[in-house]
Amino acid sequence: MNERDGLSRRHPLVGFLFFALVLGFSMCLLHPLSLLSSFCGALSYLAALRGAPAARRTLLRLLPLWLLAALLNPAFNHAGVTVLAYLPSGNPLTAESLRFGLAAAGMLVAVLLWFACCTEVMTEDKLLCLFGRASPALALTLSAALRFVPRFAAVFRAVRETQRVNAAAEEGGVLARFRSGAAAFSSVTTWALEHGIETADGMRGRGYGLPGRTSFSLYVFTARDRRVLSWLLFCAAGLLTLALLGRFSWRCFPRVVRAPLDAPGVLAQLWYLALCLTPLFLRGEEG
Amino acid sequence: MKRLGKKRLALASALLLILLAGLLLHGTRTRRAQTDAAAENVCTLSVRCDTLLAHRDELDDELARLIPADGVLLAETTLAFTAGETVFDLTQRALRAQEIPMEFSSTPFYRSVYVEGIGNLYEFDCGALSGWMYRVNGTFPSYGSSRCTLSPGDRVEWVYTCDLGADVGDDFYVRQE
Repeated sequence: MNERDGLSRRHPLVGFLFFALVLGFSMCLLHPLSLLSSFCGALSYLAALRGAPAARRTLLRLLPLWLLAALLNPAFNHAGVTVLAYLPSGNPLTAESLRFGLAAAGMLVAVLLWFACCTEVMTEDKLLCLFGRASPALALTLSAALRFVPRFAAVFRAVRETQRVNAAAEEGGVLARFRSGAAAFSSVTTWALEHGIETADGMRGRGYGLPGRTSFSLYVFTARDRRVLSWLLFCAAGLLTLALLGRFSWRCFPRVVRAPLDAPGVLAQLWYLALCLTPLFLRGEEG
Repeated sequence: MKRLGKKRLALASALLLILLAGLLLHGTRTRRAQTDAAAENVCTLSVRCDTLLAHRDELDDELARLIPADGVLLAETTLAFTAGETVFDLTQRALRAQEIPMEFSSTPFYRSVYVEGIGNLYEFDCGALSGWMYRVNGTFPSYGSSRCTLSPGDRVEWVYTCDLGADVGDDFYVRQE
């Protein structure tokens, strides 16, 4: 657990609701200002969680993806009233499809950044605490699945390092390196399968999922949790209402029409920004 | 190690660019419509969406704005064409000159194109049975407009249907029943 992070120290329910909200709103609100809020919130939170250099690395890795996603849209989507040019295929290249591509790609990047934060905060024990009683099988599968990829990578790295020490990996041409890599991959796959069975057996041996089993968790729902949870619920209700009233609306086709930035529009955007920055405010808190 | 990473990144971005270029160039037609001044053949072309006028209230506001009051996107005009030009070539040339966007998808295997939308009015905008159809001298050909070669004096009409052609005078599906 990230000891210095406010949201990580809160009850799992709070973290779960927060990420459900920001992920849901990020996926649905394509208004450029909302996207910017979401992106900035996610990036600054990731920087706070993993440190600025790690966040910068993640961002640099996501940038080509953003560009690719942004450019892919006008290659397939030709709707829109503002024709900029004609593609060699004969279909028009429109300003609207470019803008939509940029927005959709921005949404993708923001959602990926939020997911990166989510894996830092919502650790396996929290998922088990949330769903362990209601659906033991699902909770265990979920936590094992979320753990699988980073763990697989770590074990694979360890095997490769051992090979390198044995001078098996670096010698020889491409084919030899491929062969040693394949051997490592094979052994790690075998390990993963075996480990999965062992974990399942171990959990069964502990009586996991049996009726009448109590479920221990470290988390206690405190007054502070109640306060943060009510703020999140307040945000959810308010933002959902504003969204249903069209205060976040932004449509591209056939022409770009965006919700006016009048008083309710500004309120909506500021409120959403406040929701996205909530974990940063919580960092200042103690206890 | 760092060098290798950079090289790989450069290689990956180069591949990405090639992929993108390929996507953009996808479906490029090798033979361009010729705008030959020496053309002696003429035909007429019109683009209408009268059927949408009755459904104006059901449509989205932004789409309803696009429908001309009289339903005529392109009034009947006489155009010159060169021998071998197809209905599609003529339509594309005329609509570009009028700056009316048209989107189509082409299937090179059948040498056929399908017109998805004209003037941002697209297929399915007015229900599942709606879309653009074309008519040459009053009859609806049962093949793509890029396979329909023009003859002198042809009267080409693009019409928007909301009912699989039944509302614009195509009785193909009526006869089938």
